[in-house]
Amino acid sequence: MQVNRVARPAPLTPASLRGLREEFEGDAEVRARRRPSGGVFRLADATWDALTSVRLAIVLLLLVAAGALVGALLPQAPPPALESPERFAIWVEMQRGGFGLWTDILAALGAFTVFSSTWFRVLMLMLSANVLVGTLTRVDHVWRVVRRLPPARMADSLFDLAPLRGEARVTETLDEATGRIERMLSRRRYRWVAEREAGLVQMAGIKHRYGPLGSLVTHAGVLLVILGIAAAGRGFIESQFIMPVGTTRPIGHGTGLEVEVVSFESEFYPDSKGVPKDYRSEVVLREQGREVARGMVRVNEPLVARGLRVHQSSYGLAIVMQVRDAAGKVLYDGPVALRGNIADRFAGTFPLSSLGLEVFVIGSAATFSNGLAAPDEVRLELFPVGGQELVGLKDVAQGVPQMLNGLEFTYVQASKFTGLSIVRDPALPAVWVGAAMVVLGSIATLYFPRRRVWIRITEADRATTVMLATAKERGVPYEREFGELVREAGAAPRPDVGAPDRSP
Amino acid sequence: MDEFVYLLFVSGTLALGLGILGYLAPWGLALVRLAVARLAPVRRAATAPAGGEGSAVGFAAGVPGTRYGTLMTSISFALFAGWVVARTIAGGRAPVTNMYEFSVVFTMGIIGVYLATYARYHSRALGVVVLPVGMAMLLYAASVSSDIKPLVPALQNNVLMVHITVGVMAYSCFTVAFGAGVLYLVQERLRRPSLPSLETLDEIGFSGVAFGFPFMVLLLVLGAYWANAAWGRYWGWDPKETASLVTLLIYAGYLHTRALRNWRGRRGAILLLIGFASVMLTYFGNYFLTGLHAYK
Repeated sequence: MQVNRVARPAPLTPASLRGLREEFEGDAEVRARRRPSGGVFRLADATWDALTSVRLAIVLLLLVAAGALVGALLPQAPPPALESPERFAIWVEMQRGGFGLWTDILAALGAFTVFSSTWFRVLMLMLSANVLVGTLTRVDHVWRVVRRLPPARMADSLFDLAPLRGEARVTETLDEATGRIERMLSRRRYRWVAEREAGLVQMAGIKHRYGPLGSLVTHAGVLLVILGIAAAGRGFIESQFIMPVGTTRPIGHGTGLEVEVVSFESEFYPDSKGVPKDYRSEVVLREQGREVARGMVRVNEPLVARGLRVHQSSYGLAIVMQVRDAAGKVLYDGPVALRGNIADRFAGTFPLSSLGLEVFVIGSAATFSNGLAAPDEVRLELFPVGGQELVGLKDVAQGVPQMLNGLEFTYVQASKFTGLSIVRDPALPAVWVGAAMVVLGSIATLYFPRRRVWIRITEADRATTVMLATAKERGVPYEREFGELVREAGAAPRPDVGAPDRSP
Repeated sequence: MDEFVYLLFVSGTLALGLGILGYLAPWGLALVRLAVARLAPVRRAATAPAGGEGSAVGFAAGVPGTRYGTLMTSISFALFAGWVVARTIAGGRAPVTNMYEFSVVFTMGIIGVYLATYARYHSRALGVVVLPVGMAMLLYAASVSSDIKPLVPALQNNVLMVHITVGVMAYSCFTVAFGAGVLYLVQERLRRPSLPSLETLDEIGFSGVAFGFPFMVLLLVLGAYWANAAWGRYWGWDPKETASLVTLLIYAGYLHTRALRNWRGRRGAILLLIGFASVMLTYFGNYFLTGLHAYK
């Protein structure tokens, strides 16, 4: 259909009166008109409407926001605490100092485990369903709406009843006024259609005709992101893959790959108390002994290979320990990553499985500046595996073997460990595409909203009158721009419409 | 150069203060006139203001304070723009790496968005509500360390600069929308002809959110992209991440309310206030939320 042209006049028919309704009714009214009515259908319709409604969307959005807020404000149980009910109970006990009597109630309500709790997941599911079904039921209507150009001919009642309207008397002739209005619309980037007959010109202008499609794109994008997040479960993430330098470990998760950390380097800013400038690891990936990838991994620059990404996540001190039994047999010989924290000191642990013991290696104070500084001595604490009572305690200096519980412990040297984050997420591209759709769709809907205006120019008794009218587009304020249109058309706007407040 | 940066900061703050005073001046003058009229009734009775003691004559157009207010506010914006340049030179990088820098840039954003809104709607009353927020941010900035510290590896990333700039745009727009929301609730009570109409305030509020919302979405997306590059996961329910999602959801809810007739106006204005509270929580989150963002 061509635009910016003047059509031959058509006779006034019931169809053109219907134009009013079609131009202004929303999708809800369209659906309502098409339904079978009566009895149980009415209840089903009402339920369906409620479930796909914008009102429900708002309620769900705010409920999810409230739930997430709780999750942001209250401490959330970290993954180790979620491994067993006993560990969770211990962690909850640690919160009692902050929450007192409320601790148990909050724990029972899931306030410490919001994002893995059932109620939060149900809310997210309901929101997703609302978006999905709400969007699908509106696609039809939106598509039809954007394809249709507004009719130039509208019933007279539009100019009496429209929420925004204006009128002007101008001194030009009909043709002059029409030409000026056409230029005004073109200048303001409206496409227009016009119908002329003797003494009367009727025009319809539309701007950003495809704006409403943006809303569909946004919601489709949201669904794609949600799908991508759900599908991420098919991949895996090992976010605390601790590897002392020089060691090799299988990645697992069915990858069939091993990773070796060949070297680790860190650079610090001079004179700044150990603030790191850069840290990087040289990493090798092997499949059945054969090297398949090698690279330098630094923060923000992962190694990408075989559908995996290997990120440099953290680093720290490792203590190389050697343990011999009374017969001189080596029970342990290797680095211990001080990846944890005990009483604000770096600490790590290694097992002596044959003896049922767990050894804790405790280093110096856990501060930035001590990050990689080799301590002169470390404290060793022995516990039975899973037990609570200390069975051995000794401070050992570097290079000096010490006897403890009949075993010989040697702090050989200090080394480093690197903390990798290894990820496989096949759904990641879907998430980025969905995110881009949300951004672009919201730009389209919000920055380029559809605007329609109807204009009627009449000439009678040598006076030319210009009348303008429009609906209020759903949600988007049109008052200011409409006021400008009216003013430009040569009229003073009605007092309740359009005039930007000139209060200084 | 550091002294120059400091000078720009101080003069920008002073200019903003004078701008706020300029906007308040006519009201202050009216109060003074009122006080004088009350204190010396005999001599002043014959020259009482025609509109009566409660006259809002102070808000009328053409009163000198208004133009000075806008002028000083514009000067303040220019000074902070200069601060950005100077601080970039002094630090060797864009000034978006600590709370001090964020706060100054945020204030500049607030002033900028306010001035753009003023150009369209000419509402001085909006400035009286919005600009003090900027002033409060500057006072906060003055209270925190402005040392130029070296960047840890996670922050050595171009995405950081875009992420922060986008965030400042979003938050500035939402702050102006907040101002419109406050004024809406005030005007609903007072119904003063000197304040903008309820429709206009509703429109300013919506326009603020409409303009800022895509930036807010982009803020989250860029944050997720950056987190993915740094740590391998784009979302981890980290408190600051979650708080920004809460903010996004609140404004998404606000946009949806525009489709419902009886949610425009008063309820929308209240949502704008709640949304702004969420913006502040997200912004200052590192003070009482823990997590990966804590070092900021």
